[in-house]
Amino acid sequence: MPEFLRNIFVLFRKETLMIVKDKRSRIILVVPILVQTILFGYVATYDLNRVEYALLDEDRTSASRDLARRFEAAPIFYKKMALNNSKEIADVLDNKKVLLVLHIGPQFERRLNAGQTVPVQILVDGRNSNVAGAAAGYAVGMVEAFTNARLRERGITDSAITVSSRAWFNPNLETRWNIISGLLAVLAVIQVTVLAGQSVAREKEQGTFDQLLVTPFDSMTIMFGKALPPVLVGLVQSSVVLLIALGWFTIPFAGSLATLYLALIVFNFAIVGIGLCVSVMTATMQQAMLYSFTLLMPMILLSGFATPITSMPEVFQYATQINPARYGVELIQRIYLEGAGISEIKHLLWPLGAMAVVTLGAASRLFRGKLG
Amino acid sequence: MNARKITDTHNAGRTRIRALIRKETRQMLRDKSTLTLGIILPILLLLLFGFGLSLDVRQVPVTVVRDSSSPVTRDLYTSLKRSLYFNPVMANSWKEAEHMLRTGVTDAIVRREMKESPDGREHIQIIVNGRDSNTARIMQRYLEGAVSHWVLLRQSNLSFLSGGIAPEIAGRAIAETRIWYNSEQESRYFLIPGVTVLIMTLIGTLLTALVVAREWERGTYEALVATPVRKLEIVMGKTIPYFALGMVGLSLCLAAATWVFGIPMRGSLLLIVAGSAIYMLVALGIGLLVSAAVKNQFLASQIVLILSFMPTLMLSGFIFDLKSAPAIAHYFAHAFPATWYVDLMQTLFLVGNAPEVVTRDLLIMSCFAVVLLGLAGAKIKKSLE
Repeated sequence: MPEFLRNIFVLFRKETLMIVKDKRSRIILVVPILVQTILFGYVATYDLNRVEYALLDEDRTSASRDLARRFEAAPIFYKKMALNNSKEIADVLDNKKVLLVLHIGPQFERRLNAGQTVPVQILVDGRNSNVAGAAAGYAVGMVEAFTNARLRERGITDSAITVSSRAWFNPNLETRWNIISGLLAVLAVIQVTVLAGQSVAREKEQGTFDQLLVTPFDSMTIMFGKALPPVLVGLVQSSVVLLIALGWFTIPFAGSLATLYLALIVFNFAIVGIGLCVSVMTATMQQAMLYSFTLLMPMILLSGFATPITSMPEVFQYATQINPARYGVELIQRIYLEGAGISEIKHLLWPLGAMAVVTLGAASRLFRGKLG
Repeated sequence: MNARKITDTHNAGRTRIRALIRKETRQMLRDKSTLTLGIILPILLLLLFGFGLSLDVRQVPVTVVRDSSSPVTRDLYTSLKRSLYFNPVMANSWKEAEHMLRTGVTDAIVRREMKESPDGREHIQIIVNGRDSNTARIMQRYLEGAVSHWVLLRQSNLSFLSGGIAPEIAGRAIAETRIWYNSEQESRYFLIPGVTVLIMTLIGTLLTALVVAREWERGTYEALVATPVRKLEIVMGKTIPYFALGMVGLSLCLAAATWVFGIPMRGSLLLIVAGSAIYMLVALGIGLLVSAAVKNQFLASQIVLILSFMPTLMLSGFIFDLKSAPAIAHYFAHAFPATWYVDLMQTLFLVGNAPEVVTRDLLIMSCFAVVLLGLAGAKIKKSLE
């Protein structure tokens, strides 16, 4: 084995042992990932499949009951209570007793039969506007279906145009599919940044960095020795998430494993480079941790993992272009869900590769600076 | 005589605490990384959540496949062009559109289906990229609505011309929706109260756990025991400066929410501050307990990330609403104090002093505070003996 590779291996072994020698560290690197992935798979969802509502029917006729029955029969609506007058609405919404109030006004049937357009009030708790919008959308759909059924009864023909819609790559539009595939990248970002951030800072704090000075290793060797263990940990963690995605949630994997791991490796190197730069520039573990964290937050939030990039203002959209996590999340999701091959993702791979070269090069230079 | 002695020790205790707080505060102010996390990160998060992140669909690229034999696609394109949500482009062929979807240039395709159906109906097909399921769903709903609207217009024209009953005469029920507390449906309105919770969690648990774990690692606690300072005073001297930093963070959030983002504050400010102070005690309790339990910076930071930061981000109802979570995950999420604090903040900001919600949340958070601080105190005492 060439001297260079052997040296890297020696350092790599020592660094990896540092991470996994403590039983508590070993546990903390794997168990939480398992628990978090499964838990987030269930909780982290934008899907709305349960809308509890209160009914205020001031008409009490067969038409109003017909509309109310439609809500009762719908699988996502759960009638929690019936209200007697509109004064009760504020209390049930304010105190979160229901998410939505269906209010049918007096003379609903009479006005319908007179050929008028009659409003049905849908009042929604807007504390979470995203949920409110979805709930309102479902309720509007119910009222539309009621109207269409009435029109059909009266012999007004169906429209000459039909609409069908389909979603590709995630046919039932389950949030879980994109959250879990996104977690493959995001959990690795957190772990790798923190581990790489600590690596040099720990040596400085404990005074062992000076000992590295007197070894025959050059800064390139030290850099690779420091960079490889976090990359390895990141890959192991991503594999754990992948296994859960496949085995527990059975989210179909559309791509090729080789492409996925290629993307993960390039991605992890870009992240580790950032972590190492932070680590070299700080003096203590505490500082390294706090600075890595200050970097991590915007990296994750601007990655498109939790909120879409197209919804961000333009300035932020530009900012995402220097964010490795943004490329990572998109890469992994495209490979996992869409089955994208290299040719369809190369425009995402090369910026990550460039970031890896730049940050690792910078880290290596900074070592040299420290080494004198 | 006796009374005087008690006053003396009381005064001495106060002096000692004050000295400790002064030392701790200086240490905090001197270290730039602490201030970065305590001040810069909160500002960054507020800006990100206030201006940058949103679940609202805006300017989504949609491809309409041109079809010269029907006016439907052209009309749809025009209708999409007028909307704020979409940024439509025309494609000349299905193949071209499909390529655009696969490479991420466009997020949805609208086309007229080629096959002629026997009843002479036209079929419009909408295809969305499900990779971002939330956007996809909103897009689907909107596109279906736009198509249906177009259909309705044409239908009423046709039936009027053919002498049939115009739909208006048939009487129709239309839904009139009112989104309470946030009529414009701005996601900012619920994200900013939520990010306040995130910031308080970061300062209270992550920062405290790191700083205190470092002291355990270096053995400075044991050194303090040798001085006349009492154990309780040590704990208080540690926590009060971070409590104060948390309150600075809170003021920052409240000021930004009101003056920068124009979020309404419909509940009482006093209740917001009181609730936040209680949550800060909870957060400090977690930070102190974890650091005293593991006495190691790396482990403390990892455990705090897992036990407090990630749940706050993912499970608290701050971004992902808990209504659709399965029962067991729902209960699990409510085992974290942050979930109650998010509920309290969203209610106090957007709704008002809804008595049932506010009393329940404050009570539950107070229980968390008492238990966690009690446990932390006991653990520290035991470790120092």
